[in-house]
Amino acid sequence: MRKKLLAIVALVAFATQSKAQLSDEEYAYVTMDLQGILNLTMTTDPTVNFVFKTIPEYQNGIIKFNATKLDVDATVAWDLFAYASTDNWVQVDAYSTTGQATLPAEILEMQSIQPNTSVATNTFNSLISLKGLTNSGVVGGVPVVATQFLAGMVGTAAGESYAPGAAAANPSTNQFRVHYRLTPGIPASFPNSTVALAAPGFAQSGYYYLEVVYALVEDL
Amino acid sequence: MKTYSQQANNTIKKGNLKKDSPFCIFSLQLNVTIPDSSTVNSKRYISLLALLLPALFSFQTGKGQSLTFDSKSSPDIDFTFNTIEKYVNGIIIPQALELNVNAIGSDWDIYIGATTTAAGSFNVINTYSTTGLTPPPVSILQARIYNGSNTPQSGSGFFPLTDVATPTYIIGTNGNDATVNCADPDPTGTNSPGTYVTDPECYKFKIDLKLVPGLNYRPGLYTLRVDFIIREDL
Repeated sequence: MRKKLLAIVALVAFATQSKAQLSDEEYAYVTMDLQGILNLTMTTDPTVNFVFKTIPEYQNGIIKFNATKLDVDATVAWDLFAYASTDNWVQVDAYSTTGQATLPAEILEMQSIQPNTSVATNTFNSLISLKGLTNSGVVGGVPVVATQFLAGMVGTAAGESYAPGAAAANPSTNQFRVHYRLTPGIPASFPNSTVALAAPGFAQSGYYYLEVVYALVEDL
Repeated sequence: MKTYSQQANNTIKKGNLKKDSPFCIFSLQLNVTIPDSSTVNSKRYISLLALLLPALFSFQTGKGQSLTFDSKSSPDIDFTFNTIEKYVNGIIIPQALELNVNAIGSDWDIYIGATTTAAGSFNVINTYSTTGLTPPPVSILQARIYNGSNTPQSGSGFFPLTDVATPTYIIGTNGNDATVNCADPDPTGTNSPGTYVTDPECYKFKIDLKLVPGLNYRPGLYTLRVDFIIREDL
């Protein structure tokens, strides 16, 4: 009996072990490095010139449509805001001896052709004075509620930022065209400005420049 | 108590080895204990041992069958996305891997799948941001197979990877398949015994990998392992 039992065990071992399914494996180890990208590209001439040399130009102002075009490519949620790098225009040359030489940044009006879909308090959805550095509240490149946003706003909750995307594929959300307007009036008091000129209340004839900063930041 | 011991040693004499040469010792020992009171002829047990030994050796040799990938490379494949164009259009690494098949005495299948900690999703090593979806699914990684005699997965198109538990078959199916020989008029999906040495058009596979993340996933470092498995077609 034991002999038969051992014989059966031997046969079963032979049968089962020889039926093991043959196999072999090869591996490839894949690493994916998704680097964060925030690209802001200005595709137009960065210099925008306003020359006031006629009475109608003083009275009606000059508007530069689509003077600046911005493309945003981002792999993270983002906000886009703008402010003047100084509180006032920088006077390069004066053509007269009368009038106020210190012109606030707010005499420049701006409008983005793509309205900000976030519920930001300060936007460029219509022609509005650009805030100078102090009034914008931007310190060290960090915006606050008072900062004017072209896209997004302060905060990280839903609807407070724009989603990742490429400008070419998302022109309605990732491409911006900006109008600029200056309306001196006569005298050149810039009545549309949210900050009034100091005495005597009108601008000195001269040559001025202002730097506008567009900042693209990750929504943190 | 009588104890019978049979020991087989396959030993390379150290005297024949050069210094630092690798050597191995193969040892198999069987012990059978028979009570003194037994009336069974112990020689018959020895004959049974003779029957058992081939069974054990058959496990080692697989009755002369084998399925192997030769020239194992186990490559590290890095996809680095540092421009929008790469994110949107993806990165293709041609011939990321080459599989060379040696199949002796058995029909076979090859399948491919991804192994990760959470089935179906990349392993997250690190993230660079707080926004975006994470982890990405393994299906954003795609593969394309080249073979001289073609396979069901050959062609210009890439196919998305799946978890290894639900793999994609390059050759054959998870059932028993009809034998296709390399010498057949249509050798597409050859699965019969053969080797890449003599028939590379049927037994050599080149794998292209493509990764298209898009812009929805959280920036970070992710990994996975792609498994290529050759298995006897049963």
